[in-house]
Amino acid sequence: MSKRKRPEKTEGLLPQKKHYRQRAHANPFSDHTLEYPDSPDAIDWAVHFPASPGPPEFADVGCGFGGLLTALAPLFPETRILGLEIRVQVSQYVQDRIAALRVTPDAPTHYQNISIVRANAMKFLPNYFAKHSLSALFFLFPDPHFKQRKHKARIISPTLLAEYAYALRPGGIVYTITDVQNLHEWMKSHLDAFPLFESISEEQLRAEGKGPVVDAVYTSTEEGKKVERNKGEKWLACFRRIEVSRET
Amino acid sequence: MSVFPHTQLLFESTLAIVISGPHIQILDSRTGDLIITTADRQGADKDALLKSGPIRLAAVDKEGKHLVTSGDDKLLKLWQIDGLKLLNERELPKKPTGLAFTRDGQTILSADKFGDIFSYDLHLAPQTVEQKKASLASHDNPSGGKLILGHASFLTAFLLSSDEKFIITADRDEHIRISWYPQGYTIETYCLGHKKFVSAIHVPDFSLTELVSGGGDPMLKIWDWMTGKVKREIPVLHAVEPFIQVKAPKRTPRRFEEGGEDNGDVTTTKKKGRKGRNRAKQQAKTDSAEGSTSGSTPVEPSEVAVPLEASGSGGSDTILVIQRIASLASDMGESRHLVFSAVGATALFSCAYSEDAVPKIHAFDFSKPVIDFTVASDGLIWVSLDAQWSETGSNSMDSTSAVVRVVRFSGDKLVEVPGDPLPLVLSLNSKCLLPATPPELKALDLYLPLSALPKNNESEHDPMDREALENPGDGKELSMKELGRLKSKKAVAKVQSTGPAGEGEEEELEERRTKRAKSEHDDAGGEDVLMGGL
Repeated sequence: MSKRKRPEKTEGLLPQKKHYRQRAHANPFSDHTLEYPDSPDAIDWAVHFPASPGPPEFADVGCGFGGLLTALAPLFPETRILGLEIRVQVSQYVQDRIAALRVTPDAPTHYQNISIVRANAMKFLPNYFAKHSLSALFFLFPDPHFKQRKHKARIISPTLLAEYAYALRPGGIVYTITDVQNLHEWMKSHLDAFPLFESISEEQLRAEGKGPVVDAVYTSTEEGKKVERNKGEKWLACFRRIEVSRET
Repeated sequence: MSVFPHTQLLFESTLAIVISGPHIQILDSRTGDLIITTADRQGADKDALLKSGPIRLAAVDKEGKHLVTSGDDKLLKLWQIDGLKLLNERELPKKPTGLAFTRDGQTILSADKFGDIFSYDLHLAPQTVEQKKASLASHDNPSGGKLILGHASFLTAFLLSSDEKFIITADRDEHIRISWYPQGYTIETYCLGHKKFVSAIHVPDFSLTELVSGGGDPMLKIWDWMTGKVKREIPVLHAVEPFIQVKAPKRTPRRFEEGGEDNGDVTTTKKKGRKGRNRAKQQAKTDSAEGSTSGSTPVEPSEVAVPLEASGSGGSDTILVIQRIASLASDMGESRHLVFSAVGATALFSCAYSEDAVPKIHAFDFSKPVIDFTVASDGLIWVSLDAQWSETGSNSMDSTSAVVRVVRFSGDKLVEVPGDPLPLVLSLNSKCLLPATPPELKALDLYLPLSALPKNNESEHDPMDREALENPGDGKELSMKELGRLKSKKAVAKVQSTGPAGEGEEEELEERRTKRAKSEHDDAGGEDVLMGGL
């Protein structure tokens, strides 16, 4: 049906994943040949969001193949959303995919509000996001790092939470989801114990109108779909950024 | 005869505390008399000292009651300065990179190479129960320290603000972070703008809202640290570079090891490191079980880096690493100066602390690499030198070369204070010299920062760096993958050039919004289900 116009062109626009395959893990502690801005002020957001340049309000840490980005783009057409992905090939795939979506004639939205950077979020998050600039931060199906020795490489830890709290504005939401129960308990316990976050239930989020976001968190990513195909369980944990005062 | 250089000098009222290799010596700072030293310890005490290896870090509290030290064995040792009695020792989770007391002297802060700051009570809490490693614990914490904050990067320097309400931390990945203290989980701001590692930070006593930072960048930066805004910069490279005599060795391409956990310490061989770690833990366990140190195990070699060739011969780089920054104001406050040193540089550098013009950098050349310097309360600047260093690489003691020299400001420049009227200088250069064997000197590894701090990111180290394939046309055959990517990219470019789906087609797009783009399903394995459900 959509083939009535420029069928050859539209078919060849979107990049194919098989051309971007890469090993699933990257060591967040090594010195990758990364390019990163030395501060958020140094970023030219017009490169990322040409239709309405400005800093992003949502960030997807470890965005993988960009499923959440493309799902949220039409839901929040006025909200700039940035994905961060450490793997070169995967981030290039998402970049090519967004470029293709932006010129795909039959696309449901213009996709001008989503973009991607190849970045090591564990080290360089404050280089991208100014204080209190985000209202949502996503950690979807993060690398579980099963071995205890590798736990420090997990994307949720007490010390990294301080950086997430810095980037999130009070009231902002952290969404986490995983199919690994142990990792879920890990993330939940650390977020629960962190003074600047308070747990918020899925029902409460839905009551606040964030149902579509929650749905996207559950179903939009490649990992999320894989878990569904395998009839696996998904564990969601969400938290709200709160403020605390000085100890006296 | 080879001797240990004095790697650190600390002054506390009438005392001078000198760190020389594995030893601590305490002198009367006026008379130069040696009051007490660990160098004459015997038996188990001596074994424990030598086992710990060279003291890397030392800090003294405000009242001059306590001294903390640590070495490569990751043991934090608390000494009572009176009598140099070892009060307690505890195992740190990672190799420490900085130590400090809080102003009340009751808390010890330690920074480590994993990027964390822990605080410890002065007094060792009796550990009644063996602390089991909880499955949800994210940090090793063998001595029950309080985790204040952490970077995901090697911490190079930290300090507390004068009111102790903030802690300022700097790392190898260019960050300076301002956090609340002790509530380190609240980040007030960052001072961002360095392009290379930050290795020294300083808040002048006469300008408490300003922070001076330096590292691998060719300038010092002066920040309003509460807002994170840079106020001015002082170019220093041109003045420092001619004096950087010790060169960093050219890196030998090391096979990139995925999953390496050396966290930035580029010279550590990982396998060794892990074994060494385990061994250190076992050792610590036996130690605590026996309640004494046996001293039979040699110093943990795992973290000992590839020795730096101290020669200026080929295959080496000149690397700028600012080592320490301090400031001085004259009594009336009318003249203010910065003093700083650089790793492997033979001079001490100074400049006026001025808000107006870019200040001129003055260098005072000692012709031997400056190891460290200390500004005493009387304005004298005590400089430790690597007197045994020579350009040819031979470690022979030059009899005319002092290991400690003293300078002070005269106008805008540093001038030398002759050693004669200062008995302490004479002592430090004579009776305080302790014999050292060549392996012991090698283990000091004074110039490690030159190779450890710059990034190890040449592309041959990084298996993820395949940017080259994005620039075809260099004669190489393209793989199927690359051809596949190019095909899609070209198609996108063609649409962009002929008729982009931009503003003009907005209405058309609107019309089609209900329809699904088939091509997405072909490609993304049905990733976009949600879009259709809107």
